[in-house]
Amino acid sequence: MGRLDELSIRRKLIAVIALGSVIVLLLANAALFVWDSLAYRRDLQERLESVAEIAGRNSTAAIQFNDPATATELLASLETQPDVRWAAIYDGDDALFAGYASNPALEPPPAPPASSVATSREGVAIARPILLDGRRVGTIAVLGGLDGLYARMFRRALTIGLVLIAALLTALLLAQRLQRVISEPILRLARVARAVSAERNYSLRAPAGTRDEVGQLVGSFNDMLAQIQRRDAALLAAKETLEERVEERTAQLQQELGERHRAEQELARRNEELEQTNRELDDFAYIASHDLKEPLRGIHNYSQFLLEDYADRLDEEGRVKLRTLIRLSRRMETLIDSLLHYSRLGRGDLTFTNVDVNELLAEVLDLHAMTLREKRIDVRVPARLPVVRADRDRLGEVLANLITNAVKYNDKQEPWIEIGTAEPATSNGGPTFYVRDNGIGIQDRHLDTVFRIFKRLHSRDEFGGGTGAGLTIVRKIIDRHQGRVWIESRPGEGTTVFFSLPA
Amino acid sequence: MRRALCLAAALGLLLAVGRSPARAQSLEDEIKAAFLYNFAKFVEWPPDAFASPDEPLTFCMLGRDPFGRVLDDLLAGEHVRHRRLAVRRVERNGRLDGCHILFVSPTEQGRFATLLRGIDTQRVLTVSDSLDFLAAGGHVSFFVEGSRVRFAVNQEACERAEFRMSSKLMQVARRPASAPRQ
Repeated sequence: MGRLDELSIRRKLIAVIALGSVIVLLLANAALFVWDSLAYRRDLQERLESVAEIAGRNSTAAIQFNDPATATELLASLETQPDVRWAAIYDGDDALFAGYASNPALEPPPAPPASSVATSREGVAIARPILLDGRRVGTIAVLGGLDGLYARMFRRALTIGLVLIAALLTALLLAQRLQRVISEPILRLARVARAVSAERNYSLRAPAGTRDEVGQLVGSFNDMLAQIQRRDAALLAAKETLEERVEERTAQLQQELGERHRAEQELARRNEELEQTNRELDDFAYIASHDLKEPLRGIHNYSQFLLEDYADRLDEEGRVKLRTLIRLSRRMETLIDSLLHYSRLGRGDLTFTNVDVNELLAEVLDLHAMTLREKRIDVRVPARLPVVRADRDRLGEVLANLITNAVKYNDKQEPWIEIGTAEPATSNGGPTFYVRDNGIGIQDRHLDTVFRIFKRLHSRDEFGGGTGAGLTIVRKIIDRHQGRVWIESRPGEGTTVFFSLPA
Repeated sequence: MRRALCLAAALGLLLAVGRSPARAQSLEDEIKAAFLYNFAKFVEWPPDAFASPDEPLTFCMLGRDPFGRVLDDLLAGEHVRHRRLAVRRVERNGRLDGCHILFVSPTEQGRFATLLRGIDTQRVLTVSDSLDFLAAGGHVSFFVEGSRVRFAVNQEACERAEFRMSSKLMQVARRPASAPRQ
């Protein structure tokens, strides 16, 4: 079977058809042989019986009148029957009465039972009683040879052999053509299947043709291919869409990135410009204030000299004007000092250390102890203050400025200042401090302008005067700490200044 | 001789002979008696040869009867074509009507022609033991050839007769080698 498995469908079909036809032919002929042989024997038997009947009938007188010669003559007429090998007539006592043999070598056997049929390799032997007037007067026996059958069989075998060869050739030819009807669609299907799997080409289709099971198979196969093709296309489309979207998004992101980059560059450039401008401004302020101080000191000193050395030469009005000049120059010096200080804050580096704000506050309060006592200010620190990372001197300056302002702008009978920490303004905000007072407060519309340098909301001499640089300096310092300053206030009730440091 | 014995046995004669007290009678006569009986089987008479359907087929013996009891024993209880068989012995000049087979004894040798003229030879099968009988117009005659009993037939007379003789019988009939042509 292993060898058969390796054969292609085409060869298998041819083999099946050829083998089938040969087997059918052989079987049919075998059956025909058997039937023919039986029929021949039956036919022979019938013929022998009729021959025996006639010979028997004709021999009654010969038997009755004891005339074997006539009986022998009668039997000799069986010569014309080529099948008859021998014939014999037995008398009423089964003794041989007359005989005939086609071949001198043959000898009739002893009398068989009357009315019998015996088939042997030799042939068919029949025996019949010879009746006269209803009484058996003898027996006739005839043996019919099967030579005719054998001759016929030999001729037939010869014919069948020739027919078999012809049939085999015809079957092979037919099979060659017929197998195409069956195997061709299958082979086509196999070719297409191979092509599909080799090329991944799902648009191929096996050609339909027959409407049998193979046709159905081809149909199913094509349906399957169609499904795969659809799915493949859908997959491809999805992939392309995805790629498109990725590309789109990438482009978008790149664009956004580019824009952001440009914006950042722009910002950096602006920042740099601003810083440049700031530096230039600081430089200018420093240079201006520094350079302005020298001539101002000159003016001040010379005005002092004038007042000391030439007071008697001036009248009262002159002296008053001179004193005003000195006062103005002194004021100008303060302003320049403030400006210089402010400009210094923008320059130079901060020195960060861990600062205990409690200690720092105590030092600042010590420095201003006299003023506080003088004004009977109640300083409140409701809770312990934290340790922060900051430039100690600058943070002290912030506290000093805020306390000074709180002390300065207070018109209440029992003034107080409270210093504490507040909840951070933002969730990631650092420690936030406040300095609160029950002073005069600030109008809402002025909340933005109070941080401007030299901006004063009141006349020069009200609330003890000042340069108007305090809050500006506070903001500068907190800015440089990357912190924030803001003010909440109710006019007439008080002001709270908050400042936060980075976390 | 052996053949004749065989035939006798075949005909069932042996028992009859064995039983018969007439043991001295020649075997030849016994065979002739059997032949007589056999003739009845191969000859067909016209229906009007019998007065009635149950009238027996009658064998008549004219002159000295050579068979005696042998023929009677042979025919006793037998039938031919469903007809009983009977034997009648007839004296010289006796009545011959009702006979179907007439055996003329050799004792009547001199007067065969006269005898036959007085018989309806078209209806009665006449048998004798002498070839002269055939010449005188009789139908069948026994003769002995070698050790065998044979019979010869007057074909002309038989063809003229109203009864019909079977061709099988004619086949068995012989022409005696020494006989004069009829």
